[in-house]
Amino acid sequence: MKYSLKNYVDAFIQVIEKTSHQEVVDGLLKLLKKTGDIRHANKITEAIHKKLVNEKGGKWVNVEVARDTALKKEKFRYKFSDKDHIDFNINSELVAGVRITINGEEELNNSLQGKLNKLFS
Amino acid sequence: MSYEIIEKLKREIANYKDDTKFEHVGLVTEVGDGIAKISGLSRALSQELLNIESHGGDIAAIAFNLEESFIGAVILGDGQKVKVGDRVKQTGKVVSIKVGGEMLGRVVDPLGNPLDSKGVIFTDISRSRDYPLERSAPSVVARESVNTPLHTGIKAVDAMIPIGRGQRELIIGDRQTGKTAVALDTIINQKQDTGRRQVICIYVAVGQKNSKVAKLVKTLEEKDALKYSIVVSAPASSPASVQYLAPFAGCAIGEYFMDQGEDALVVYDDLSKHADSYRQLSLLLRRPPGREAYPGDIFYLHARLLERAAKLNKELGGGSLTALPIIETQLGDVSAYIPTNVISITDGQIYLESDLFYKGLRPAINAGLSVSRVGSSAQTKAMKKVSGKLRLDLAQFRELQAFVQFASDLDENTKSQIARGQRLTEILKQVDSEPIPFEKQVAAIYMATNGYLDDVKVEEVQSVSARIIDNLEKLHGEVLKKIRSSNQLDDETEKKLGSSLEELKRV
Repeated sequence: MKYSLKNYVDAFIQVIEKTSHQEVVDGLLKLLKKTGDIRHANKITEAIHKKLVNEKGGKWVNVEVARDTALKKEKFRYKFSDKDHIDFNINSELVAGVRITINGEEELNNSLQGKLNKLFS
Repeated sequence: MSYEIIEKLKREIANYKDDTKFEHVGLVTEVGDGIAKISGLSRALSQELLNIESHGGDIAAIAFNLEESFIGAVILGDGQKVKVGDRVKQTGKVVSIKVGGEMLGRVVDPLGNPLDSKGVIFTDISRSRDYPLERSAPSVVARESVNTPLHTGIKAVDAMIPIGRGQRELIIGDRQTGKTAVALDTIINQKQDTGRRQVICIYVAVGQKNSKVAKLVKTLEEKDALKYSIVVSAPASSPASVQYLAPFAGCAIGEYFMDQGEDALVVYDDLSKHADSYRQLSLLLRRPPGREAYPGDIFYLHARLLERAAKLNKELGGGSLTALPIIETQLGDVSAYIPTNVISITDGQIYLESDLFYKGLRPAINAGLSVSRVGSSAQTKAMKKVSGKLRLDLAQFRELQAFVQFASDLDENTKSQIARGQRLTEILKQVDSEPIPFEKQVAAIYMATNGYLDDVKVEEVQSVSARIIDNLEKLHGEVLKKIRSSNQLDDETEKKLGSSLEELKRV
């Protein structure tokens, strides 16, 4: 990347407070095309999203389950506040159970894969 | 048998306690060239050991760069197995190596894994101890002055550049000048230096060819020196991270023996390649390059490694760790970055020259440029007595050497000085892997400096002196024994030595 991820995120957050949202997003995309970092657009937008959630006092929660069930999603949403962003992912490698990661830093691994790893490590 | 295994597994499963709790994790966001960029783990410590949970099993890594939003980590295992998205966990430990007496005679990698197919190192794990690879050097209070000699078995070194236990003496020279041979002779000689405590030797091979290490191990085995030696090998084919760790692993092993009150010797062969591996890691971690593209802390890297060599005081057991770092120069350029750094850190250097090597003067030690700053206080009285004259005679010879070609026009005094110098130069020649016990060195140097060889042809000096020393051992062994036991050449012993040499010369 021509500029660091942090620079893009900080610049975007500072501009979005003053200008309309659509214009800022267009401006960011134009800038990314200009700098050649458009291929990192997903990474940059995710980082911006994370920062916005954190600034509002929310958490970026990643919930991984082995199989998709609507019931589980509702159950998890209820456990977190409205400010939190919750991502649901299916990860069949977990075999069974759930793995929750908060802000990409803290993890609660209650999956069968985790238990098996612990057992045999 | 299978019943026992099943029972064991059943027990393990039955005793498993599920204590799921929140753990700190990171994610690999970039990986390549043995370096991983990890997001998260904001509480990781510098130099902390991390555990990457890859598909091929757990792989160790060291946290090197702690930046605002990510960690730059050096992968210690197979970097090819690490993928983006792999989870990383802190271990709360720094890199350490299991050390103990059972390591003697073994060849290990810098993480302590055996490389010699002789099986596991520690049959009883309770007899091993974890020693961190990075540890602060002993303080001023913990040390005492170097006072015991570490005999190399090389006449030129033991007489003119003496090394003491706890000293750091650099071996420097171009490629193929006999640097490793000097270190190897020193290791082999520890077997025959019986007047003092046995020195435990650790040879650290950094970026060497596997064939060279195998040859060295074989030589040690043949000379019966492997039983008190440990070889730490990080060959050229190993990742830069492993090569970077090798000297620290060797040092940690040496420190274990030092802490046990024993004397250890570590040979770092060589620190030029170690500096190269650290440069590679630093550049891949995008640390700013400095002179010759080495990172700014390359001096600190070698200083903190060599500073760990010490002679501990009696309260701490009186052990010692002697360091013999090796540096390879390019075309004799000692003013390059790494050589000047290491010269300034160490307590002296043995400078080997290609010109001398090709002239047949082996070991090719340049006595003028080689120094030992602290070793003379550890030299035995006997050696001090004979080497004083040797140094003076050789210095005079070096000054007169230019006039050798005009020998016929010179006065008798100058002629005799040149003749003496030529004989002294001859007597300092030695073959590889055949170190000479210190008492025989004393006798040989005494013989040359006191004119016993003045009437022997220069080309016959080596054979004649070898024959005389051989006969001295057989016929007047008590003289050598006295020198070995007392470390002195008192008037009585000197008289006996003189008369014995006179008698043997006539034989």
